[in-house]
Amino acid sequence: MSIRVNLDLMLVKRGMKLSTLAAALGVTLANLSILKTNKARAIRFSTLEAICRELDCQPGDLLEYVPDDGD
Amino acid sequence: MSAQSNPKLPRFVKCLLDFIYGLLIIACVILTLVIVLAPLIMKGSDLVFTASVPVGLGSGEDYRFDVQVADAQAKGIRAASVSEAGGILRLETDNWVYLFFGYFRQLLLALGLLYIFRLLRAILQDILQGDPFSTENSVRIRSLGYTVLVLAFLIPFIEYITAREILRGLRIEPTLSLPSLFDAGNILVSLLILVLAQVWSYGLELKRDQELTI
Repeated sequence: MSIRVNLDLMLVKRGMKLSTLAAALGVTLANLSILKTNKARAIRFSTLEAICRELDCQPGDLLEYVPDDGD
Repeated sequence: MSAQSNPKLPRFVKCLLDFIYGLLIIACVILTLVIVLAPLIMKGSDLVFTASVPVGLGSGEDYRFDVQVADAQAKGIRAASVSEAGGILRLETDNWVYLFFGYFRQLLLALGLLYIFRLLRAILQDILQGDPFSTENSVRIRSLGYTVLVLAFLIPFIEYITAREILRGLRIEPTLSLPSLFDAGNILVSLLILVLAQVWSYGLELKRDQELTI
């Protein structure tokens, strides 16, 4: 895993449920779960912008680069 | 016009595939019965069956047949001839051995086609359900390609061996040539299908990327 999505940490910081965020973003809970569990392969800028707007945070708060063990 | 905007086209293809699939099942059953029962029927009876062997009439000047040209209707044609003609050698025989390989070849071909049509029906069913790019279909298309490739070598090989063994025991004038050892056309088709399988795998990967893009 190279890019870690810290969506769960931000949700806890903002006291928001995943289902609430999904409804606010207009995406399905299943899709947002894929993002939260680091199974997503890509994220659209529009989705990232909407998450940052709803959680009042920066992209850097959500995305973290984690070097692979071999690096 | 896409499959969604014209659903009649894939449904027509499905009906056609189902119909041919049904005919192939019947053909396999009949051929199996013939292979099993013919030796029993032929034994002790005067019945004569017809064995068919694909052969060629040879190449070269000795096997060239001139064709008469009617000047009034064929302007610009000076001469015409036929050479390297091919055909089917039909033998009326009461010897089961001459018959067996011919029917066995047909049964193998029918079984191969049955498997191919089974794969095609499954792929088309997924397309009609709106999910063509799946791991199963990727495997099916690859299997389809390999099956056509195997048939392209196996069927002509059996024809070659059958013709060789039959012609060895017969003195036929004019001299007949043996059929080809492989089917170049079907080899090309199998390679096209295998390339398509690679494209399908790439499409599956793109679909996964799209599904996992939030």
